[in-house]
Amino acid sequence: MDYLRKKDYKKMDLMLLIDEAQGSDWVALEELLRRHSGIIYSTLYHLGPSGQNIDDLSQEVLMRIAKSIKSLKKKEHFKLWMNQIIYNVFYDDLRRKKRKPNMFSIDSFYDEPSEFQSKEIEDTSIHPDEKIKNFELDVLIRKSIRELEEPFREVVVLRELQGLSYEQIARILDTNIGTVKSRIARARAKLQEKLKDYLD
Amino acid sequence: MRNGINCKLVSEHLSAFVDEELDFDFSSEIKRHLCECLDCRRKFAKMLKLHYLLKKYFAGESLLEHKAKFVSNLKFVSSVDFVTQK
Repeated sequence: MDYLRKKDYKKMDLMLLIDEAQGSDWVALEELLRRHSGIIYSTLYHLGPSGQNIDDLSQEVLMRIAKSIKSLKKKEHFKLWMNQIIYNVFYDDLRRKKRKPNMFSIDSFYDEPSEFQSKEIEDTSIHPDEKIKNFELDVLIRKSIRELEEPFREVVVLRELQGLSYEQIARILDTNIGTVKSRIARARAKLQEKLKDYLD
Repeated sequence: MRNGINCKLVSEHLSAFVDEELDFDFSSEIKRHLCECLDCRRKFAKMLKLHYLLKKYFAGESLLEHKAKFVSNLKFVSSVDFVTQK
């Protein structure tokens, strides 16, 4: 029965889903969390230098969303609200650990679970040479983002991954739009330099 | 230089232009400048390419593979929520 209901929830409009979740419908809440779990993970992954326990942080974000979904007043602000939670969880953890920023180990990529590589091999739709090129580009982009200083890294993630507007980013970072605009421009200039071989 | 718009100004605002974060009038001025200036058009093309490379990278499935690892715990998350709220 739950399985059949879940299939319907998968097609449900986001606003309706939030409505249902706020009405103590746990299947709706589960679907809401499922729908956003990937982007939450990815955001935390790119915000943080390697070594951070992204699984734990993702769980913490999901827990906070679950616990406070009823306090969300404007459903249309869900994305902004969710990102504020991600940001808070990330920086709470960072403050606790007093970590050193911008550490990147190229080895860490190869220590990732094996499905990273097997996924690449399974896909036969792309020519092997192109696959290698894409893989190399992915590694370079990952490295380039992680090497950015924190203020630049966070705006790139919030803009390019989350697709937030400058105003939304400014609210999350508690700064003004001009600063966001300038940081995004500078971050892109740095990335352009690092990725220049792929941009010409 | 045209109507106060020059290459330096365009270069400074190209990133926000790509993000469609400029007001309509200023954006139109930049568009007009781009039609006339090859150097700025090249910079714009490069900026746009970076934007799409990052979008493609972030949209890649590799990282999302991870979600399967912890999505299995979602039932626990939502159940805990409603148990604690009742």
